[in-house]
Amino acid sequence: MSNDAIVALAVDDWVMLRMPGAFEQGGTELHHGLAPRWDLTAGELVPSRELKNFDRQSLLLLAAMSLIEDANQGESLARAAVIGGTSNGSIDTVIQLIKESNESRFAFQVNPAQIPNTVINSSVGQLAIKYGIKGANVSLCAKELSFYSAMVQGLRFARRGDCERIYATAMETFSGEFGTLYADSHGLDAAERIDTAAIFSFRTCSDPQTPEPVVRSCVTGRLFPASAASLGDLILTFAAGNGVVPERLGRVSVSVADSWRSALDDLGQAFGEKLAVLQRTKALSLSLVGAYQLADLAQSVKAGDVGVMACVDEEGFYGIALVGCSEAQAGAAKGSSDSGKVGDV
Amino acid sequence: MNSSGKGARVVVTGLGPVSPIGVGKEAFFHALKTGVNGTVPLSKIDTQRFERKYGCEVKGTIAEWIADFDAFAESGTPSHFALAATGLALADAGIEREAIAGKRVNCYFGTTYGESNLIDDMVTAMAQSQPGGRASLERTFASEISRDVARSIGSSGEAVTIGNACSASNAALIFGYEAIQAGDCELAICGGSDAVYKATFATFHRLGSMTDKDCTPFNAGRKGVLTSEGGSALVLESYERAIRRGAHIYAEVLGFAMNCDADHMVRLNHHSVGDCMKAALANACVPPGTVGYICAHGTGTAANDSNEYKAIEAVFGHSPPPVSSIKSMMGHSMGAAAGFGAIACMLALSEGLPPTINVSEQDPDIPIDVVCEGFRAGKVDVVINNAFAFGGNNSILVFGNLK
Repeated sequence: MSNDAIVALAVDDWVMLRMPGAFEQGGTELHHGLAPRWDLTAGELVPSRELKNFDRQSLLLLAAMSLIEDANQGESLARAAVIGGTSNGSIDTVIQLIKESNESRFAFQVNPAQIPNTVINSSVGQLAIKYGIKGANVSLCAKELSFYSAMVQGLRFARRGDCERIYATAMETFSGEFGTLYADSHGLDAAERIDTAAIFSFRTCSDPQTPEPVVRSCVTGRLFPASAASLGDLILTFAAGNGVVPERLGRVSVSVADSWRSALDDLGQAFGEKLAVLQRTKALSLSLVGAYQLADLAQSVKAGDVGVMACVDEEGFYGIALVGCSEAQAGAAKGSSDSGKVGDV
Repeated sequence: MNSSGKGARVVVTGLGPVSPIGVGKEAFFHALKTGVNGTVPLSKIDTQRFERKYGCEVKGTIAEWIADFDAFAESGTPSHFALAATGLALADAGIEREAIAGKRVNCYFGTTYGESNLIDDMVTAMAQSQPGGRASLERTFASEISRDVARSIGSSGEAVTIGNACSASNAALIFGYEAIQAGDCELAICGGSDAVYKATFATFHRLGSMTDKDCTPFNAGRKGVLTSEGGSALVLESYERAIRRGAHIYAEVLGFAMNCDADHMVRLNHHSVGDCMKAALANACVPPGTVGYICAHGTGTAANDSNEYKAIEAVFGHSPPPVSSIKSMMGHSMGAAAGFGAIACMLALSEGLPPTINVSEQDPDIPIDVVCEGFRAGKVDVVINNAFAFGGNNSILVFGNLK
């Protein structure tokens, strides 16, 4: 496969694992639908003697990856890359370390086992170790646009041509102290504060007719002015720039800040029933926003159509991506659980 | 993949160091050439309950170096370092802010701990059951470092903070390089920032990998890291753009590599580092024999320096190029460190090699040419900037004089 020919990211597999309580109580897997509660234990992911070295974020990510790897047919991951989207890394572990330092007789008396987990890139580092992923490994912080940034960089990695498998992750723990403060500040109900890890397994590809949904293009930046009208223009301009006429747009997934919600009428008129506005809870899920949107498009875009996902915050920082589905097969990203449909967008 | 063979050639045209040994290119280069030791008793964190007391701190008032400081007064110290470094880098590049407002200027900044002083404040407030409002919480996100830079210059491009710990600013430079090659932006401002931080200090202290005073990379009996802070920024742009506007070109980015040890969270794997160096040279289409200098990661821990040496030997055999660690002078500024290394590489390409200070007896198990006699005058044509991190993240860049 020549470098020049690699142009896109085919969605081979994906999982969104939601874990509302203690690890051993399990979670639910959003994949092609709401699967039954899972029964994986932490001890199955890492040896018991090493459990003390992991925090909740890392375990959650490993659990999600274990579901993806169910389908691995012996493919070596040595040349794969990992791009982690995150808002603030394992911030709860950092908070815990600071507290230990503040409360100990000597300020350096902190739990050494958790020290590696205090860096922002800890979870994807643990993921690489567990699965032997030796390609580029980066952690990107861009708040709601983190997963978009992961896709932008994934496309650059793909075009560079030195990896054929890219895992893009997004993860937030809303049950922790930081997540609780964040959720409180946005008025999210307790029931909506669910720790979630998303992993998308991308295969770099040059064939636009590949049967899986394909991320063809992604851009992030900042809109001036930050307005619904300029968002509509952005979507149409971006689609046109990628050779897509409005009629081919099968679905337009939009995630906006609270202050924008009342200003979406114009978008509704422009795109009609194709417009899907991400639920407020999910729009406030930081790095997970783009993952929710890609999960939606991966399942809902019809054969021969193209979906657009866009996210914009109050200041106009935006991400936009184009997801296509060939005539051959739409919504066919294989999964590790029964097929269904994501209940809400 | 060769930078001149794939996409646009990418060059460095602006340098903005905000470091404990000098702020601005002239002061920083002067400090590197004269071997300034930036070690001081730390004043920005309370060291009373620590056994170690020393580190390196940026001196002076940061607000002096930020043109529009009032707009960012509530931001974290790492953001302030990034803003100051950006202002210096743009000025050094001869770029007026008005000329780039509204344009796609991608902002990539690396960090280890993000807006650390604000996180510290938040934890203190939590303990007092006064967690603060939404605005203060929103400012703790690591993304704010790169976003503050984007806000300050009015960029319409990407703003991404890269949390790759101690190799983060090399990753930021790589992102900028790729974005320009792909034609995704006009300019990229790339670097890193981190502040002296209690959690960092406690971490290295607890791991037993912190020196008691001076940082002594490659020295026998070296004791470890000296924590530090600062902001580093470099302006990258296409060769054509730089020529068109008559910019001074410090270097061309010849190539890079990133990989992951996938082995251990904190223990460097010299095989993997060696692979990364080889890949970077291959990517740059540069034979090892042409490399004139390696700006080492050189933290001053026994394990890092030993493993880095083994990796260098694996790539260059028994005649590796001269090596130095600027961390001997300015400590380890975490997410900003590789950016400072990149700036030091510009000195090597133009004037000569920065020294490793505090080497009284070179480790006999590291038999390489460590530049320890002082500044070694005489420019070289190709340099390597090494950076490694917790999580096994290695990022290596190759720079060269323009051909």
